[in-house]
Amino acid sequence: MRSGPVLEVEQLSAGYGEVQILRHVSLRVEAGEMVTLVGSNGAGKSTLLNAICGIVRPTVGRVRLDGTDITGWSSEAIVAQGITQVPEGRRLFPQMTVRENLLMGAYRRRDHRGIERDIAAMYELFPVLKDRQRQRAGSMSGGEQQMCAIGRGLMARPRILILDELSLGLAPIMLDVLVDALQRVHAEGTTVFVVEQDVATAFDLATIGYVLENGRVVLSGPTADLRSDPHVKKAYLGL
Amino acid sequence: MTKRFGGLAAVSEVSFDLQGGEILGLIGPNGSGKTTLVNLVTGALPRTAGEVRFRGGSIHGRLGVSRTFQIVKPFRNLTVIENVMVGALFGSRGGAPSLAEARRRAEEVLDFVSLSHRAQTAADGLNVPERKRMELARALAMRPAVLLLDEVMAGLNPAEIDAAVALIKRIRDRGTTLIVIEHVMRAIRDLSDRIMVLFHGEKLTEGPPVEVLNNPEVVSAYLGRRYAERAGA
Repeated sequence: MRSGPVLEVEQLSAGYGEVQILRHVSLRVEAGEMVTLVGSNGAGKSTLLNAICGIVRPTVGRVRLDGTDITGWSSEAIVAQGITQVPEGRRLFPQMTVRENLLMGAYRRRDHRGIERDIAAMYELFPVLKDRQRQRAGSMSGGEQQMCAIGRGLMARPRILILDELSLGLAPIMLDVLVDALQRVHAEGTTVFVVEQDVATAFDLATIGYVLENGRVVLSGPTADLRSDPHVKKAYLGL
Repeated sequence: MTKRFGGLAAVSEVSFDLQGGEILGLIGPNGSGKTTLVNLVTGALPRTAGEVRFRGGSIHGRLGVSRTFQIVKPFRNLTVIENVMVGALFGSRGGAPSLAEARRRAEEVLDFVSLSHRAQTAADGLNVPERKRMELARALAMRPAVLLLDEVMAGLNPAEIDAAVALIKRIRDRGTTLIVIEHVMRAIRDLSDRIMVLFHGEKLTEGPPVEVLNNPEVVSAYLGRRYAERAGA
């Protein structure tokens, strides 16, 4: 078995037209780790995710997944290679049921028994999804929709699960539930990369963190250290 | 007020009042009925039971109750100032002002929310905090007596939140009464004169911020373990 990072971003620059957003961003996510990237609005978080997922083409730099260079690949090919994103704002199929949304996550798979086993596992992870399996996804609360979106992402059995703005619009107690569930997913072996504006939540979740400002990584390290960094405390934790 | 969707009571026998010049914070878990409550007050949804009185009378007509929406939906092809003019033209008490007057009001509120420099930008070109401020400006252009803010802080960083809190306080100081729905506790705590908590469509409690946020029932229904740990730390 090869060792080394699942996801490696090396000296990545990207932007839109003349506007350069990302400047030489490097980061790594090792197998089995939970890593977070935090930053304010406009720092370049979404552009980075778009560049990793093949929606924006990097001008310079490389993206590797388990050692394979995926820079410039189409999004479909990148998904097939094992990156799944839980997008900002959940983006469920609102007219489909909860179960149908989960099945959509597994659209590339043909192992029907495995799919049914994983659906059962999602219902165990988020019992409310089982209660609501035949309900339209669009009729659920924001927190329940986020659970369904995470479940849909996991149904692809990705090498790495990327979460974009997990916390947006969610009640504090709902975030507790999601944090617990993600920690369980992580403990069971899934590699997770969380891009998050709520820094307190991001640091509760992840062991390694990166701070993005104006398109550059300005700080990185164990979240325990970042939490006590004076700049992080002032700018992101509001302490 | 009560609102049922089929067999589900989204809001169940909730009563509250709003004093002129105050800021009422409205919190509760996702799905607890906050947005439905706002929709009942504004008449966007018909009530199953109950009534709303505005200054002692019926709430029908153009009385000056304005709101923002959780998901900001600008007219994408219009400029920022045109979006704000829509508010002045269609929402004002006492009928629509002239186009020139609507433009003047829009300029004034854009200045008030510090967005004048973006007036001629297409609404599409704004970033998240700017969109929120435009949404606020559009509501303010109606010169509301009561303004209902539905999650205007979501997605802002601590510095942007502090700026938004200061802005909302200035709106109140100009004579507008507010109901603020928010999950950002530092904002709700700093802004609210009173906080009301909804849980499963019912009023769990209401009172001064410090009292409500330390209420064990509110911690277990809404604020959660990590909030309590942080507050205790």
